[in-house]
Amino acid sequence: MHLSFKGKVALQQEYMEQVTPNSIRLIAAVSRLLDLHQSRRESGVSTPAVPERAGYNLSVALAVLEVLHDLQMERGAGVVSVSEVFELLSSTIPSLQRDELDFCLDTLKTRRDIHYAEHTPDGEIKPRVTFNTTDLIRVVDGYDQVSLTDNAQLLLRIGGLKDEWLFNDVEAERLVKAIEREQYDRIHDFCRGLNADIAQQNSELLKILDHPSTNALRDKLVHDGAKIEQSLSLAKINVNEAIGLLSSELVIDSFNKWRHRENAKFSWSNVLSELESVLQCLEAYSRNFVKFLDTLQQARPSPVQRIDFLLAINHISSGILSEPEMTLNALLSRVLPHGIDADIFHPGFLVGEVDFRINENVTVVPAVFSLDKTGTKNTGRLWDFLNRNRAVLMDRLKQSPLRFSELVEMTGFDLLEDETPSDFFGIYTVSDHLSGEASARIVVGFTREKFKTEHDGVVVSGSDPVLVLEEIK
Amino acid sequence: MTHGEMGMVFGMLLKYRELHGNPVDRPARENEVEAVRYLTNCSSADLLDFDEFLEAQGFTLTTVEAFNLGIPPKAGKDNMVFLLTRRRTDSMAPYVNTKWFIEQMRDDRGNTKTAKKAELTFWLARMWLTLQWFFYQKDSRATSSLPGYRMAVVSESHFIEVLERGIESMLKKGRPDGDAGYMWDVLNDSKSSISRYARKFLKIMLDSGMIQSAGNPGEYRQSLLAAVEMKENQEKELAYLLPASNEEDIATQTVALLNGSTEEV
Repeated sequence: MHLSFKGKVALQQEYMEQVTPNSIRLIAAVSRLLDLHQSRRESGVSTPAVPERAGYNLSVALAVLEVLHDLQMERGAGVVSVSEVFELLSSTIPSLQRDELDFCLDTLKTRRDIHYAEHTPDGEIKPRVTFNTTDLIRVVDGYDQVSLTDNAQLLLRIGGLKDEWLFNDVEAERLVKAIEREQYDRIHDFCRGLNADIAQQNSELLKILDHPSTNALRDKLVHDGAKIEQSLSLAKINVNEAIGLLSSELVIDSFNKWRHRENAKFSWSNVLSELESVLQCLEAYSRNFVKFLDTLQQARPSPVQRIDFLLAINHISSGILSEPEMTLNALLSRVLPHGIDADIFHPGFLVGEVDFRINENVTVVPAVFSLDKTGTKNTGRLWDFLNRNRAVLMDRLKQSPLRFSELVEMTGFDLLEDETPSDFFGIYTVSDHLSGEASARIVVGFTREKFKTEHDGVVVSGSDPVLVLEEIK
Repeated sequence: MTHGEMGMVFGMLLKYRELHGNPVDRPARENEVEAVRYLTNCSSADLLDFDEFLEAQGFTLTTVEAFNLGIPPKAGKDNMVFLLTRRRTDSMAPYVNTKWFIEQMRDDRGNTKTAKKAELTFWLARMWLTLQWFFYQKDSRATSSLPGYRMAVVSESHFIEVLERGIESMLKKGRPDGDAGYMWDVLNDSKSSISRYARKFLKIMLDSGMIQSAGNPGEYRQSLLAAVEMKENQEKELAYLLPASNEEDIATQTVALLNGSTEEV
């Protein structure tokens, strides 16, 4: 596969992202926000230079947090001596020096300002600062004893959750809890978030099949397939439980009271429909996931097709085609969009043979329209009208096709006292009978045009079909 | 689906080519939501009848679940997309104008009005392939991929730049000998019209629903219709280009593609 330099860089970056540890991805993900936090607009976009030891320092810091976390899991919350931490770390990082560890601990315990802003309901932006949410370890004053802070625990918990980012059934549990706690106003946001999340992951599945560079992620999905399927099943159980709970009389009653109390703008059925949409998404995702695993487990999945368009352009221009205009026209007629010249629709436009009446054993009853509301509206009247005026109309149609608007403006018809050419409205349904000749028939074709005319103070408006005389062979 | 509903849906499809039950980048068009509802809720027998009706005119109905494009559903909306696509047969209805694009390229201003058909054909082929480079090859996207259509963008200025670079590169290689240099001559003689051709081409692609505005002036995104048609193209028309194992193969396959045959040249 030929790739441009940019393409190669993108590929490399993508590959790196797949193998980067979760904790590092988390740090990398917030790094630009921190850089922006430290930036001045007049100096332009800031990207700080990274010192040589950056990677080493970061790995020591994460190892410290990991060791303290493991000890806490084993022993419960408490302080740990720095010597013990050093000893434990030395087994995984043999080159670690004590002064390096001390520098790392000094950094992790130091607090710094993080500025942010709060949006008030009045549209104001109030500046805020946080200070004590930045240190990751606590050192007991005067002792070489350390422990994890709440901030570090939060970081480790989120880092651990990353393994579940593919899908977490716990998210669906929130729906049940929200109903149990009468937090009906939160359900819309939960459902919206879940649907967006599932839809995004679903399209990722489809992209992986198309994208060879995501092999690492694909392998991970296959490896974790059973776990993800189980997670999806649990999520479906949770959503079904939420739907069942919402449909119980107790909850319906509680919802109605809550709605009245809170003056909520949505109804019980709105909430139900939100939950059902989540269930539909989960089911669609589950189906696609099974399909995805099946495809990948095939002995030889179909190769992904890529086309080198630039190479194709070069070859076309290199004189390789003996009749370039003809061959390129053939290509263009197949790939470029076509136009529609559909001002008139004629049954002859149909490529195949379609007879819409084939299964309809219906006798056509002519519809008659007259501007004279008191006039007798029956088929006999239409036949009489047609018989008297057929010749005039046929003579006119022999010259050229005729629009209905032109027809009603025509003169020379033999009309009774209460008749007008508008009585020709009837020919929409009995156009075949109007012709009266075995060798020709009148076809009514529909057009996009509209017409408007006035007879005796009555405005008549409608679509403007075109009448065509067709020879019968 | 009654015949009246079928007529309404057909009219909408003929006009817009794409019907979204849950459009994300624009408000729903008049009657669009109803048309999608008719198609979503009708029986499979009705759908079959409708498809037969379309088939008689050289079209087919393509159905895409918007969820599979990464579009989350909204309560009360059908998360479906229906598209009117060509059947890739020779039997198109007479009202379908296959020369429409070339006719549109001949506008009333400048050189494009008087341009010879060969000149237009060569530029169109070049521009179409270049546009596909932006949508697929540039981002290493497979031509069968639908979900990536909302990420596939092209700007007028970049499009012109790539076209110009391509022509420069062609000119540097020199004119092929004899009759083989015919296209080279035509493109060389008309290279001053690159910008005009490119703008016109993108405008017609926009009018025909193959690209959509991406929000900024002069920036466009591939439409779902174009992605669906490309998927068909790669299966039916461009298959001869693949697999692209080496340059010699590609040369052979490219010619086969353009001749519309699988025979080796």
